[in-house]
Amino acid sequence: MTAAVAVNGVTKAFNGVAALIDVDFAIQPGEARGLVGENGAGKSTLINVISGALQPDAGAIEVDGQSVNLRQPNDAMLRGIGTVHQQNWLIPGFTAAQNVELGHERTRTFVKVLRRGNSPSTQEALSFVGMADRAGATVEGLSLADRQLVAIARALFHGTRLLIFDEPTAALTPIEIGYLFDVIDRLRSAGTAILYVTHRLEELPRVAEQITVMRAGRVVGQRPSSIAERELVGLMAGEEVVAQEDVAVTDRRRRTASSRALKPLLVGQDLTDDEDAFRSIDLTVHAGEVLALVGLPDSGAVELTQALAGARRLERGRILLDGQPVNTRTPQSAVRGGISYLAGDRKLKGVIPNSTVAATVTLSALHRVSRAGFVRRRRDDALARQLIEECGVKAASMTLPITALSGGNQQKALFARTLATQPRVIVCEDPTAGVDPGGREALYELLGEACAKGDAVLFSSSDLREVATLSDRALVLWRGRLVAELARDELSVARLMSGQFNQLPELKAMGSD
Amino acid sequence: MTVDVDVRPAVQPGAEQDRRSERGRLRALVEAPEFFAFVFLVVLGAFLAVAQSGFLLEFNLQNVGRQTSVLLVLSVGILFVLLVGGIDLSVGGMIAFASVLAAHFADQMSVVAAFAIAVAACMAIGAINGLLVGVAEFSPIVVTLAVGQVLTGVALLMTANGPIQPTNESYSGLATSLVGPIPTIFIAAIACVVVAHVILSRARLGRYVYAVGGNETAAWLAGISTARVKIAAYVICGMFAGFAGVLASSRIGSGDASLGPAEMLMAFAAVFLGGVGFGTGRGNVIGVVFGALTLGVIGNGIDLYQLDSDWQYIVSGCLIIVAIAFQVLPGRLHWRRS
Ligand SMILES: Nc1ncnc2c1ncn2[C@@H]1O[C@H](COP(=O)(O)OP(=O)(O)OP(=O)(O)O)[C@@H](O)[C@H]1O
Ligand SMILES: [Mg+2]
Repeated sequence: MTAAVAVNGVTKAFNGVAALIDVDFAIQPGEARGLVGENGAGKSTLINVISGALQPDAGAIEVDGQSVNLRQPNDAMLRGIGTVHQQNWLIPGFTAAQNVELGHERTRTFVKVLRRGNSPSTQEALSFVGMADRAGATVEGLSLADRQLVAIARALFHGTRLLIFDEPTAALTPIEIGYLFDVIDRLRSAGTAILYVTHRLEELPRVAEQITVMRAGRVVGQRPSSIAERELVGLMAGEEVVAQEDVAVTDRRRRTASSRALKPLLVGQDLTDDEDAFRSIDLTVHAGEVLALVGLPDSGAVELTQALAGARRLERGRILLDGQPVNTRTPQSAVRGGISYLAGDRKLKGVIPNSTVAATVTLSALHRVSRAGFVRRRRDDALARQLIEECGVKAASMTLPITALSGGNQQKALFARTLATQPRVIVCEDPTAGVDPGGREALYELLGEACAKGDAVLFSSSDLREVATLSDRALVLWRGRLVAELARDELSVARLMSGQFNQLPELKAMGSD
Repeated sequence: MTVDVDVRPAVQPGAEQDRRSERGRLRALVEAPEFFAFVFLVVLGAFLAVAQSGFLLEFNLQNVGRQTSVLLVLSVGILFVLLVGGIDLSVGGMIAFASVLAAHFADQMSVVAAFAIAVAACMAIGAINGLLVGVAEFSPIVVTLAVGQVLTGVALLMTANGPIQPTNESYSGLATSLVGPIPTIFIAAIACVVVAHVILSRARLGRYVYAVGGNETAAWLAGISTARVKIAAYVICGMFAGFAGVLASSRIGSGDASLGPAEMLMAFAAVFLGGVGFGTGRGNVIGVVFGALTLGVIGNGIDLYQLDSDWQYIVSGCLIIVAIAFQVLPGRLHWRRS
């Protein structure tokens, strides 16, 4: 059988730093393949080469046995290769339908006047992902998850031969992930090959039969998806990782035990959102505690997180830090008060594209390295170096633009920026989105260290496994109200999931008052 | 982590939904880029109609039409480059160049042919701008400023002995003649506006112009040749700038290298007044038309009150700031949303 798509001996370097080294890769029609590797391993680069967004320095690409030269994304699309890129690239002012058919609109007459209405194939692609009723909504009006579905619909529009997903579930909730997997199954039975990149290793057995592992620009192996996660992580890291995860969990448990006795650090009273995303919420974060806020997209969990960090206005309510009222009118005043914030949408709210890695990590903490308004170069560099090292940001140089880093490493840099202000309370949304399992452990350790010092962490995450492993306590929101509190020993993905739907039996009464 | 739920939450039907969409429609209207220019125009027009008996007289309205024509055509051209996230500072030079070129050829051939040469030359210059910006990826501000300098220099050299006065009577005919009660030059300007509107709202190129301005990388990944779209935008801008130069030249009846800078400033004012964003991919032809007409009416009001015409700059400058304030404020009030 000829491979749907094959690359042979592909090499690609950026400014002399190799991102792909002699990579061979092939995928058969109807096959679903997982692709994993640490941050910076070269996964996105390989995908960019296959989808025509980057040209390899050496090597060949074959589509259906024919050697092809993909000079721009359109060349790949015309050959039936559709891609959902790691960053969600949509045109803001356009509707869902316009985004799906962008670049391939149907026109009438030779002067290329657009036809009215959506084409059947646009409509079909949107229905495939369950977005048919929102075809006319503009991107601004869509949730992060819906935007992701639009991006998937656009890839479907072209991806008849090969459909590539680069971490598609990073912004999705379990419902949508389930939906996505159904979509993938249906496509496969129609003969489309699927290439699926993820850091959520638990998804792989559901999606793929075989997994390709990359490390430092090379393909280092192929394994059945039934492989144990620990073994896979070891292969990605290039070493035997011995029960690392278990150690970390016990560490955290031990810390929890001691935090029980500690005092309230951050207290919110009667918190009510200006736009009605949540109402009358009381919550307490104790010193040394990691508290999670979970819920479906319309639950208000994310909005509550933002409000506590000053990124969203409250209609009423008070926020106290250490017993004192703290000004959270803006993120800036919150930072000054000791609350720092890592926003959820990396591309929209995190990365400042034209700044260097060093400038990114010290941006919020310049007061620590300046005197009389002047930044002192040497201290600034030293702080940047320290933060980059602590958070494990892999960058060839810290003067590179932040956008030259792999997605996961950009996230680590933003994480570093959040820690740089030495906050009392760290507030974050999806703190490890796109970070590989090893890097995630390192970031969890940093949060653990902060808690050991008596600081606290408050976060919301769409990744329930992360909530279950990382947090000491979780508050579940449902339609803007607090409906459940789960203590450390009650935390499990299954319980969190039922909680999100307000389906925890013993809590029914609490939710319906 | 999979769940066996494959039904996405349905949108709630019912009255609540209707009310929301009605309010939404009102909000969409207020937030539309052209809304405030429209309000300005209506308020100003109503004020002058009441306060100045001369305003509504036929010959005065014809005057407004003549005065606004050049501005309309040039503003619509600038709109295209702003929408792709660029800028064109060479349009001032193009106007000078087109006027001198048209006047230069007007005595050697038919006036229409001379006009066509001038417009075609400006389109070619637009193509150069587009290549430098879209393909070579030079900074649009620098490139177009430089090109504008060169053009102004050429126009000055060609008119070293003073402005060129074509002997052919029909050279200024375009500006002075009427079709029924309407000045021919205004009809020509409206034709340009309609063409631009159709391109932007109905043609595929228009869709791509907005896409490139909205998010260039996204457009490129979607398979659009962003370089080609940019070149097209600069060529169209050159075409309209050239035509605006021809119209301006016809109005004064000569080819004059000093034309241009004032027209360019006013056109940028009209475009921003019309709600076009700078590097945001936001704006449309209708807003620009309202912006240009507003400035035309202001100029006319200043004449009617017999004020020094230089007041026009001050008034339009202040209006732009007010217009931007109106655009930004609603967004500020909802800043948490984005
Ligand atoms: N445009 C670029 N300029 C310079 N270097 C780049 C560029 N894009 C990627 N790189 C480098 O190439 C390497 C591979 O990056 P790539 O994005 O392929 O990693 P990845 O496996 O997708 O990682 P992640 O899981 O974090 O998304 C990294 O070292 C990255 O810094
Ligand atoms: Mg990547």
